[in-house]
Amino acid sequence: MVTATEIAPVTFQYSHVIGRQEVRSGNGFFNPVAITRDDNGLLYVLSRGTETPAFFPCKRVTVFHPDEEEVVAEFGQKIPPEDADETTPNGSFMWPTSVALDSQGYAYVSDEWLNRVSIYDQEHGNWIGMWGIPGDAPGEIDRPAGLAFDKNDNLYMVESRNHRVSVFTRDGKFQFGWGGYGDGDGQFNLPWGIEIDHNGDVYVADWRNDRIQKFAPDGTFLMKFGESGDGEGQFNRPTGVAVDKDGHIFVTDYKNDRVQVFRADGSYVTIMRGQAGLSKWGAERVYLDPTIVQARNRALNLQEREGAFQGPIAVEVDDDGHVFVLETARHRVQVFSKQTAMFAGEL
Amino acid sequence: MADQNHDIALMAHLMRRAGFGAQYAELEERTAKGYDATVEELLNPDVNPHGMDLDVAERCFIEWSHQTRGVPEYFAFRMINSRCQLEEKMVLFWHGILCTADSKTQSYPTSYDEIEMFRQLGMGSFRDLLVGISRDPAMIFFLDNCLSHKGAINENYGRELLELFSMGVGMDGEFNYTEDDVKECARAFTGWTIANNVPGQPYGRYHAQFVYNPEDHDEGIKTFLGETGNFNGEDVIDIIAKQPATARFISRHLYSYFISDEAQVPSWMETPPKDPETIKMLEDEYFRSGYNIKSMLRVLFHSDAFKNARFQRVKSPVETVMGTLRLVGDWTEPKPGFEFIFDEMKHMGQELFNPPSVEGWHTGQEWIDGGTLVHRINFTADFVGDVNQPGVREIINRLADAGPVISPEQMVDTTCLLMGHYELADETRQMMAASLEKGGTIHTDTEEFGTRVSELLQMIVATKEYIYA
Repeated sequence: MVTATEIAPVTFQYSHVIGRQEVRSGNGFFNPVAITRDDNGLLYVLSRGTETPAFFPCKRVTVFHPDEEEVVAEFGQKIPPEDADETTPNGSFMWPTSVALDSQGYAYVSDEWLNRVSIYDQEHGNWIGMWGIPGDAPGEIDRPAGLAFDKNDNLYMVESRNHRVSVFTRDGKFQFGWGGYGDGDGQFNLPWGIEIDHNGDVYVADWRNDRIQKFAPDGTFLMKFGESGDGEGQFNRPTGVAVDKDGHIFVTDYKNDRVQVFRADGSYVTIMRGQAGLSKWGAERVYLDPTIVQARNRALNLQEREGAFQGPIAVEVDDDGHVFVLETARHRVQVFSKQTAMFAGEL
Repeated sequence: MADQNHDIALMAHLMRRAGFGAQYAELEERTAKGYDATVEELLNPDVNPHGMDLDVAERCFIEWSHQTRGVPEYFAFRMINSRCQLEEKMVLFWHGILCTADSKTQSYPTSYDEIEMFRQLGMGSFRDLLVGISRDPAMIFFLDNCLSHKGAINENYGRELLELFSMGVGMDGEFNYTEDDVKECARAFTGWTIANNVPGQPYGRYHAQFVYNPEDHDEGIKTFLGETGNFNGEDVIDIIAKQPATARFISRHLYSYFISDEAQVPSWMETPPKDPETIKMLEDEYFRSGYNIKSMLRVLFHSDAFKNARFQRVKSPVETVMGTLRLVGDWTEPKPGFEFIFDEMKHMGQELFNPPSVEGWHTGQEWIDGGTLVHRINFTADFVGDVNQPGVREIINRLADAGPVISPEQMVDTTCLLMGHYELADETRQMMAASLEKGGTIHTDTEEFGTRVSELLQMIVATKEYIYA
């Protein structure tokens, strides 16, 4: 007779944390909103920053290696709000929302205020072009949010204020789209993040409907899961979604301050709540000032309070079982590894 | 028609005082619903959680996430857009009395918690609010109660609790408490402190937390305002709440904020209330209702003193900026540039989250000097002079409804009505009409008409009358 034992079906081992609050440039982020990964394992984090003039270079994409924790490139540029109109200089950001990479490694950044997509080369982040026509007709865009490329370099774009998904070629030629305002199947209410899995199926974080919807590559509705709340399988404004090679679905449950994991059929698996410690870049800052070190030693419940996710806004995975959770309120990426059952006989 | 005008004028007055003003269409809608019903709606914000789509605002202004930044702007945005106008107006009221300042606390997350506490308790029992402010980590740090220990008290919080937060120094020429009462009050609050917080480096600031440390609480017998016992903080607050001086103090503050500018607080011991009858009515309601602020406000808004007090208060800078933005219909949704709005209030003399001292801002005529007046007029004139603002367009369209031609006098009078029933001095009214007359016949069906309306609006907001609410 086999006795059932309570075992979590999937577990995650905390690995490390990358980042710190960095209001200008360098080793850190400032109110980051999006994360993606290239074929060489480099991570791209998009900082939305703030309008405060003193923090001028705070809106940027930071490219770094997640293991060595070294910044290899930075690009994008902040503009003051009074310049955020049709005269906005090429390559600059006002309200950037997402970053995605095409098969050649070019980075595409959406900006929901300027209603455009800016393109940067993979070497130095030089601006090489942009496209986007504001509006609500097919092929026009209103408040672009999540971006994701399929294997054929079609760019799937979530348009939050048009409540739809539009698909473009890399140079902005409209292909097709679906959606519309509502809470029925295939409708959206201010959608945000998007993911394309290994099969080409599309997942959308239907933000204000508190659910995830899954579609075939052509936009055919396949399934949905989630509802409003803070229980298992419920969401309070889901922002980001990622799917790993096993089909597990990771959702940043933004206002519940957690990441939820689901099976491919949308059934609930587990919750991650974060357990960050001091990052390498954080330590660079902290150990400059002994009073901060002392204050950390005295802080009540430091580990618990500092470790928890706060504003988890986007999530990325790789094929090696790594999960990268980006937190906008804490300006960092927490890295986890998916665990298999341990067999330690060799020890 | 005269009755209807009177009703709308009264509604405009109510919305300026119990909120941050309203456009004419809202005034008409509320007038149709009735004054009493509007007062009840304002007094009961619970039916409308947050009063607005906060999630959408937080999504666009992503730095507001977890209140790590932008908290003053967040508060200001809610004043403009919350349907629960009185709720936000009361938060501002308490923010100006139970004062902490970011210049010392340097923690927006914790300041946010204080504001949220005002939102939760600001229209409930004053006794509960005093407990709330005594447990407020920002206040505990701001007034050094975290430095007050058993056997080594710091009197700062105990003193201000009595002097500035609840009773005032004196009433009717008599002192309300003694120096010994201050010391005993401070003893009762020993052990009310804050946890060592997580430092702001490297991941940004964290919300501070209240803790009660029984080891550091003075358990000795205390004599406070004539009562003796082993008092803790809440016992002291119970004694404070039942004092006639507390009823007087809160009533005068409510009167000054909602009805008519009173003398500045430091002079209240020697200076009697300007309207003793209304103050007595509010004091009576304070005790009758069990210290309930909402009940006092209900009495206040239904009082003749309130209804007859149109344009007897100088608008604060926050009221000026928020009122103008609500009039023109700007910032009804998030867009870049909101930090500029916050800075404008600062230039006019009122920086949210940074009152000049624990005494709060001095009000009334003290808001106005040469520099702040110029800022007020420039700011308001810029906004009402923009014919693309929806509220300005609405005024233009309503004026055009009068017919293809409008007389200068009619244009001045109707514009004042549409702005919220402002009343100009005869001389001012005649000067404006004469100025319009110089421009020739006023045709309402021309493109130029919009410009002429915007110029008139700019003249009106530059008058003495527009300074008052």
